[in-house]
Amino acid sequence: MYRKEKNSAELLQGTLDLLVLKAVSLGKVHGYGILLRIEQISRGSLDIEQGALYPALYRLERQGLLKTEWGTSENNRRAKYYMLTSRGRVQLKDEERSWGRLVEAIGAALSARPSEV
Amino acid sequence: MFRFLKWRSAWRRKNFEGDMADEFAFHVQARTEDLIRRGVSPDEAQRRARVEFGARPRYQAECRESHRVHWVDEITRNGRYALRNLMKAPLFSLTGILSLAVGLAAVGIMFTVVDTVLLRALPFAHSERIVTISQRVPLFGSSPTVVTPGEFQAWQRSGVFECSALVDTASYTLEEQGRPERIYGASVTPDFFSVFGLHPIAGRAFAAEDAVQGRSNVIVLSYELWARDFGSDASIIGRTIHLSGVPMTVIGVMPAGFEFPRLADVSQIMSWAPEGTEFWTPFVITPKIVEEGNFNFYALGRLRPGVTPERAAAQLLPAAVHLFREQELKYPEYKKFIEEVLGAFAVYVTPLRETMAWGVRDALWMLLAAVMLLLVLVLFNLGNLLLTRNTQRLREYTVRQALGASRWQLFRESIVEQTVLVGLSSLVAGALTASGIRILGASLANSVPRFYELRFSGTEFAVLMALAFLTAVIFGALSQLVISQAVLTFGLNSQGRTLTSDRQTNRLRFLLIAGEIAVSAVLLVGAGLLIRSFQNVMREQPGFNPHNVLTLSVPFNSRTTDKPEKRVQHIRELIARIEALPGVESASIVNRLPLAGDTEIHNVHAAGRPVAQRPENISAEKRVIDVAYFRTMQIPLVEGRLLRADDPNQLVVINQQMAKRLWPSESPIDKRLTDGDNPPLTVIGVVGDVHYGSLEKPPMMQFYGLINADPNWADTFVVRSRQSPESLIPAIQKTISRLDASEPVTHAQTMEHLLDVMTLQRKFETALLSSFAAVALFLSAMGLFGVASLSATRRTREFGIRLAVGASGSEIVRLEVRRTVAMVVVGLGLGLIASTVVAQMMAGFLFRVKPQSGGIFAEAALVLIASALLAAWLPARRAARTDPAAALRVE
Repeated sequence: MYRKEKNSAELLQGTLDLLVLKAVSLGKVHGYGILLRIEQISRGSLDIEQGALYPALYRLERQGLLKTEWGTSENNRRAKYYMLTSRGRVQLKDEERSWGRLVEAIGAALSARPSEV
Repeated sequence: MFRFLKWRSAWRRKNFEGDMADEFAFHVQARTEDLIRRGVSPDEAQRRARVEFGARPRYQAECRESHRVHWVDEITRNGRYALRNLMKAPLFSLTGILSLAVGLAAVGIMFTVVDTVLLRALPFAHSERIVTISQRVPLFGSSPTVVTPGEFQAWQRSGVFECSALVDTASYTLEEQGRPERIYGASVTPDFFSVFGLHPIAGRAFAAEDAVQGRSNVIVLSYELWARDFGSDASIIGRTIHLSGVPMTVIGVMPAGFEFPRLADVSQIMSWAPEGTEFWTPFVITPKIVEEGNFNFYALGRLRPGVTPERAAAQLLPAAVHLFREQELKYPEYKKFIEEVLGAFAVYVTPLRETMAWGVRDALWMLLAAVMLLLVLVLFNLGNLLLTRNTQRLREYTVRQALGASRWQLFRESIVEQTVLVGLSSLVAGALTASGIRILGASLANSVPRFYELRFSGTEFAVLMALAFLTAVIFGALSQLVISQAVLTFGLNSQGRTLTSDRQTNRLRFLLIAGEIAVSAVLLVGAGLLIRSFQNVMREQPGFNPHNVLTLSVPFNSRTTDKPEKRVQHIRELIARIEALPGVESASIVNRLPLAGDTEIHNVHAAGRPVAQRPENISAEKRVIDVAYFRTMQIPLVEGRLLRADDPNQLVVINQQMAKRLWPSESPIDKRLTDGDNPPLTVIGVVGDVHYGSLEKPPMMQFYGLINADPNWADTFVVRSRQSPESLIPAIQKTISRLDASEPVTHAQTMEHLLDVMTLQRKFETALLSSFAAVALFLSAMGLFGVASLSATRRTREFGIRLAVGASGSEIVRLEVRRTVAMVVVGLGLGLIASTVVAQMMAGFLFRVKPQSGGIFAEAALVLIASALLAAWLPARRAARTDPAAALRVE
């Protein structure tokens, strides 16, 4: 039972990282903003606990893909903002490309008709 | 660079936590506001925002993990976690911490003692070159360390010593302070202080001219005497003080702490020495002393650089042999005897550090070995405790591992937990060691060599800590290894109580318990052998009745008692007055007390017969007594009659040994006895044998003469009382000082106390080893009890089923106890095999007990089996009483 959960979480991790990078690439943003953008991008289909976002952010920062600075939010509160580093931008490009290829391949595979096999 | 980053990270650690909290709070706040904007009520919005965010601590932990902050964080976090875990199981933690602390402290204390007494250099310059000279002279009963002045002079000329000294003990009555005070010191040849490389802090040391007859009335004071009796007065140098009526000029004061010879240090070298030497006077070697050739003195030397003790001994031997040959020419009738002595004769040169420790070395090593064994047992026990505890946490580990905790993380945690436990124990152990050493030093400084040097040292504590932490790592690794194996096979889907998953743990536990039992068996056998020996010593009859006997010494002043007849009269007057005191049954005087450690050996033979050739038929102890001695000591008369006050000087009473050895087949009464060069003596009576030297050595030949013949050394009163002997001390002191105020009473003690002192070391060794054995027995029983309890609890369900289908309670008990029996059999087998070796090594400590005494082995085994079965039976009985219905509901 549990093992299955874990596997899906692992799959999720890669996806979540990609979504985070994508969200941050649209401009300097704080954690909550990233969440909103992801909800928007994925049209609400990605249902995770909101806190789970942060370990991903910290990991990406640690990997040098994101950088942070403290600033003031729209309603004048101290907030931590995330930006892509140049390495982050490269990584995003790479992942978008390989994701696109994967989706293409799977799409092709799934739409295959018996005669084509 | 890497290092720099780490440093920065450590510096920012504080901010990290705060920032993370701020960030999370901001998120929740922003979410709440959003929800409110969408029309949700504020309270509801707040609740929902929090729920949507999820478990904050969990994400904080994950963030920390992803960010991987400085290792210091990890350690403190793990440490805090470990402390929390330890607190959750207080019984386990306390048992673990305290038993390890006691084990470590025992090792710490014994190690310090061994280091201080046996290993550390003496506090003198080039102390390794300071040696004592001893020889093997097979004269029955004489100490190997005594030498004659003739030998000393010959050795001085041999060239192996930078300097050397002959030492004798001395005591005087100091009459400076109004009240007479007895002071104790040594009479030494002039180079004595140079042997130790010491100089006086005031005045000068002895010069060669001081050791000349007629000019030797000079004295060097110890710092302690100078401070105590002369108020550290610097003008003391050059002053004349009166010692037993003789004027002496003070020429020097030695540095503080120098009190050689001290009784505790030299008890194996000298038959008598002051508790701490208070003064030194010059030893004048006159031609007469050399001529007498008595083995009465002690020799010390400082070897020349590069001369080994062995080489020195080889060079000293010929001079000693030469002197014996001269004796042979002088006493041709002893020719065969002297030849026999020379056949086994040897000279030894031994570093002073080693001679000081002669009497205690083996005992200390034995005790150190015993505490090490105890520590091993404590470690086994701790291992077992940890194992039990970790098994109980198996479910927790499994869950956490499944939730993504890495094995490394769990391993690290368990190391930290063990480290915290061991750290706490070593703190307790440090405190125990420090106070143990202080107590030992204070209570035994006057009985064990060099105990006054005993200190708690940082190095030893560091070694202790290192040992402790090594233990932590080993146990952490070991238990983790076992646990990770178990976790693999555990699985959440199972009942969580499968027995197969425990096979590894069970095997390890079996080994640990068997090990504990083996160690306990060794300690129990050792303690049993010592206890039996002690019982045998205590059962030994001293040959007199020590109960209600008081002894006191009175160093008679030469002024009042310069003539023998006057002295005898004085002594008899004192005895009469003491006997007149209420509560006194009888009183007498003797030159040397039984069991006080000193002897006076004379060479005797039956007149008119060839000289015996065996040392034990030649050497006899001489006692000078007054008439009531036998009555006072309750030494039985066996044959003939006792001495009377008006008997002529040449009449003596002998003991049974002498009667048997000198006149084996006839009555010794009226036979004549030759004592060296003295006029022959006539035997008038035979009394029982008395242990004069030690309870553990058979009594030798003894003979008793009246004080009339030789009153000079008779100075110890023996008083038999009808009441508690101590209560008589003030009255007797008053009686003595009323007759002569210049005579201080010293060494007032009961005969029973002397007997206690005599057996003190054996008592001490026996008590220590027995307590180790008791602790060992207790710990291994605890270990067994723990294992049995665990097993009983875990099998509750199984027992429930068994009981439900008709098993009887006793069957359940048998099932449980059977496992214990296997552990006991293996452990006991190993332990008894090891014990045979250990017992053989202990042979030197035993008295009338054979090392391979089957009885003691059997007793030790019985005690172990009984306590093991009890430890296993209690939980098993509880298991057997389980209510089947309740047991089946447990899961």
